[in-house]
Amino acid sequence: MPEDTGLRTLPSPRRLPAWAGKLLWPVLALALLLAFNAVATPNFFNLEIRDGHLYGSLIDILNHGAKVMILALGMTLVIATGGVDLSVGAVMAIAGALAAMVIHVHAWPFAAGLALVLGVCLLAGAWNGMLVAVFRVQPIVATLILMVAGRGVAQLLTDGKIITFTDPANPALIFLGNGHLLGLPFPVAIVAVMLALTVLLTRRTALGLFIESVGDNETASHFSGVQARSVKFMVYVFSAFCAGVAGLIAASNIKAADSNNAGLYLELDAILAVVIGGTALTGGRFYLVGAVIGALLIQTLTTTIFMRDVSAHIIPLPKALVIVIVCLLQSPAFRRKIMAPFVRRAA
Amino acid sequence: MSKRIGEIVLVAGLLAAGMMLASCDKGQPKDGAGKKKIVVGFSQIGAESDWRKANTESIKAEAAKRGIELKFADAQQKQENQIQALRSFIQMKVDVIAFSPVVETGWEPVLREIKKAGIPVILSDRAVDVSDDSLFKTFIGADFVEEGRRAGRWLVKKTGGKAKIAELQGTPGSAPAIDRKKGFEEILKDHPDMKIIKSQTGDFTRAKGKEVFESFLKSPEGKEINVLYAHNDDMALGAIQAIEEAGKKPGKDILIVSIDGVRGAFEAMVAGKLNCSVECNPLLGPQMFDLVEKIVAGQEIPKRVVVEEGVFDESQAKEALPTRKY
Amino acid sequence: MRLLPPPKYVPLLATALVLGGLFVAGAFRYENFGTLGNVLGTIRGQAMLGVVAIGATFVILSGGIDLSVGAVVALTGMIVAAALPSGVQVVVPEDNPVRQITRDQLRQVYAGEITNWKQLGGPDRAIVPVTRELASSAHDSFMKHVMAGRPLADRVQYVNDDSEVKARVQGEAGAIGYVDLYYAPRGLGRLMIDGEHGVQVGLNPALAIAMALAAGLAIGAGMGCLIHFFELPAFLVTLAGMFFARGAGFVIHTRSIPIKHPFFLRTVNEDLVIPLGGHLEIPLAVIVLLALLAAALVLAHWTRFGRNVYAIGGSENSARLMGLGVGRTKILIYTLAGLCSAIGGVVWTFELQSGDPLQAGLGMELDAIAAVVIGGTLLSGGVGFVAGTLMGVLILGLIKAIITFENINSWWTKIIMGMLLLAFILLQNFVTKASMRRKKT
Repeated sequence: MPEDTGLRTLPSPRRLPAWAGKLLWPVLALALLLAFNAVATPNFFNLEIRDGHLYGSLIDILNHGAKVMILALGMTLVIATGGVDLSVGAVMAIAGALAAMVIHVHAWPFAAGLALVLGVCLLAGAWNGMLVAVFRVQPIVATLILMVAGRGVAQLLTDGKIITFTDPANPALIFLGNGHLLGLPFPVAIVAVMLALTVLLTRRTALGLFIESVGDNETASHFSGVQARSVKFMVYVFSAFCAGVAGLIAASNIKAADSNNAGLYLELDAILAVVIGGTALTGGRFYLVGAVIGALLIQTLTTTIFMRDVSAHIIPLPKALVIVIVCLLQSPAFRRKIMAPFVRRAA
Repeated sequence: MSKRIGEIVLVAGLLAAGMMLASCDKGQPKDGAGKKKIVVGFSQIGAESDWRKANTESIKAEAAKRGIELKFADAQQKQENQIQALRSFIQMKVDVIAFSPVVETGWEPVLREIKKAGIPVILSDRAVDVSDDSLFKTFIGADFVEEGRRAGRWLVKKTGGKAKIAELQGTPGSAPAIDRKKGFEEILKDHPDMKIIKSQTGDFTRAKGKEVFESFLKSPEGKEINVLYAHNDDMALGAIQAIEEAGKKPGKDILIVSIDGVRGAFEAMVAGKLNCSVECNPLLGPQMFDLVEKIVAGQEIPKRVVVEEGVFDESQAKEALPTRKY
Repeated sequence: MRLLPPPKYVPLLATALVLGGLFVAGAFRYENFGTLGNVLGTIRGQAMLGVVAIGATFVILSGGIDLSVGAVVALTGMIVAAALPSGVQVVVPEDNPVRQITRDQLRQVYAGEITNWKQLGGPDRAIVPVTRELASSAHDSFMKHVMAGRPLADRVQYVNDDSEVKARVQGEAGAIGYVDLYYAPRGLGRLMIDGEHGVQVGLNPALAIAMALAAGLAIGAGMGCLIHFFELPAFLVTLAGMFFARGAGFVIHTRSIPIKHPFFLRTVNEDLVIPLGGHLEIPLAVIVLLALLAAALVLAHWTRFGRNVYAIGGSENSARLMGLGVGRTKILIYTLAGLCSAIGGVVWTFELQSGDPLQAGLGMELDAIAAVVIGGTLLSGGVGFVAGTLMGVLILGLIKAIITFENINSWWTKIIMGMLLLAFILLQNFVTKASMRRKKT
């Protein structure tokens, strides 16, 4: 719906830049959850140095959250164009399966295997991009196809088995998910680099502007000379690339390619992270750092539940609550109707 | 213009028809040497684990060996799919229907239909919860409760009845998760010094097994854990990595007992990282088709057939590893 | 060619042709595929999805989306299963003359305070109490409703299921045991407890079903209100609805609850069906589907609500400018979808005799969207037919049946499903574009 949300016409009371205002809520939510854990969950903030790297629940959150953080980077750009990518979980499974097959089973050199895996992921993204940009299929349905078929392809690759790769033979592949850099798990470094590159690429060039304009109003952006089709095509390719990296980390993390379970339902977590981060599903302005914080929030929630012996069945309930609260806080209509008496208008 | 639309519609119909006919290579059951070929419909849960995969292959291979025609349907872990497949089997008029139920509940109506159609049913691997036992001929499969007990008994022997246990449960609500917990706790009841101090679901997957066990190790009770009981090998294999990353020795600092006996578990035992794996035998094919042939021949068969299974620990692992088929 | 229907019916026609083509191809290729039994079986297998997809059609026609449907099916199924009566009946050997006991006496027997049948007016015989195993539903229910928090005496014997209770009680003259409320205690004597046949708690089926439907309505209305009043995106609100309903189902119980009430076991499957002769019958699930389809057709094409749905899907702003009750209609649409999902949950209990928080409706939201899209409804809203959705549902069912008849491997099933979805969508796009061009000329 190309309806203007009226968001930017509201005077911002604190005169903060838009991105800072958007970051406020997810950061606040994360801080609250961490504060709760500091008081109520023993050992949550314990950090120690083991074998020369940091060890503790906080590090686990970063480490396990890395997959969704990376997915969220790609998803943010897709959602900014008004689309959505449901296929990321399946692409993760393909990436893991392919990596295990070529690098472990067929003993390709790591670099060649990596190139092949990421190349295939780019193709998967191009497939989605083609359906959405060229054939103009609605993104949900277009990516649903790969979501359904992709996991089948991953199982086909591994013949339905879990492919375990043994330690000494594949140091590089194992390092991806288990190595350390500067005392932190290597996936964290991957996230940092990818986030920095994505921010640079979208904010230091006009690319980000193009993406936002396509999401805001495709027709208008077309008339102002933006190649809407290419922009759309590219975001799906990028999203699949991110999914590929996340898939490699997921497989490396457990030293096995589990086609049936890798990345299952992670598309929902990724979408959730993006929305918590302040990007609207209708497209337009996007917030990469917000999405990463959103992913951290989701992972912190999960780790909290594990640490506190709460039965994992109820994980969906706090997630539902988080979605509703975040949506409400970001809804201009909610602010207008409910919050108006509490928010002082800047003169 | 409208003519083109007509063509498109026509092509669409033909396309669908063509697709179905294109892959046509298998014929109808042939009557070899005057004897009618037995047709068995088998509905499998899915392809969710190595164990399941071995189970499927055992059944397919055995059917091929005996010249039995197997109609194989994969339910993709959905009960609706499985029920629809069973109804299709009724329509195909197969001689025997066998299936591994996705869940225990909800089979009464479709089993009644099958009974009305006069087709005998074999349950494989998992039982069903029905009020009328005559709805199926026999149940062949492991006894999950007994597997839990075996894990418990092995642990009692190994630890002398003293242990602080962390438990990784299977998918909530699934029969193996419920029963393996039940059997294990039954043994623990008589040993007050063996306590489960941490328990959480690991969804039967390596990734969750690892993630959950990491959080166990970091909890206040984490330092006390000296035994891990995992409802399947995959979760134990994930947890082993978590233990190593915490700088502890799996199999030494923390004893590990799990269930299934997949190849990966044997490799871990040989490496000294896993202490015991209670076998849950997926190779049901030979026993199952023995039963099928007996049923078709009109012979009496027992209502419950328990599959032969063992308990393997480190000392036997090296010898057994080369013989493991799955 | 003047024989062609008006352009708006072309996608519907294409879907119908594909449905027919699939069926004819299947019937030619496989023995017993083209039988009435197989047709009925396929429709029955898809009844649940059909009911849910009819609700989803209205949502998608209005330009929205509903991801909560599968989880609401699970939750409402759990509500029905949990609300129905459950409990235990108390059994003794047939030759035991005692036939009456009070709940207090029963508690004392199991707590070890009453140890001889003499104390209950029977023969001089020691009482041997038998209990079901820990964590069984019968055990839980007995502990809750009879023992009321008191522990069992040490000498109580544990056995592992109802038939073991039966065997133990039959083999021990002084034994007393309890079995599930719905277990047939043939060959056993049953004790009346405070004048009733057993210890039971629960609602009658009509009330249980009403409760489930009300829950579906409430969730749907709640989501509709959030979407309308606070202008939140439907995708997220219904995603939250999905998480909420899934979690709530697990809060009711963490594993599936079997339904053994005679209404579900007998009445639903034997009395409320339309027999067609032979082994064939139209089951209640299909009757519900057809009734709902009829109601939905009337609602979509002959009421103001239906016209409003199409208008909102075409252009919400125009609908608003025309003074159509956009807000009210939107809330009603999601309420209707919630109701349909709840009916789907009830159909689940009819068909599967259980409530299941994990398995029920898993992935159904995407199946429903796929069915609606295959049925010729545009995801962008405003164009489509309820009847098309039914055909879409049946196409999915036929594909599943063909896969079963064809003996295909698990992963190929997924790949083929994806390919077929692709074929349909491209075809539909093509047809729609062609008909739009035709409209212009």
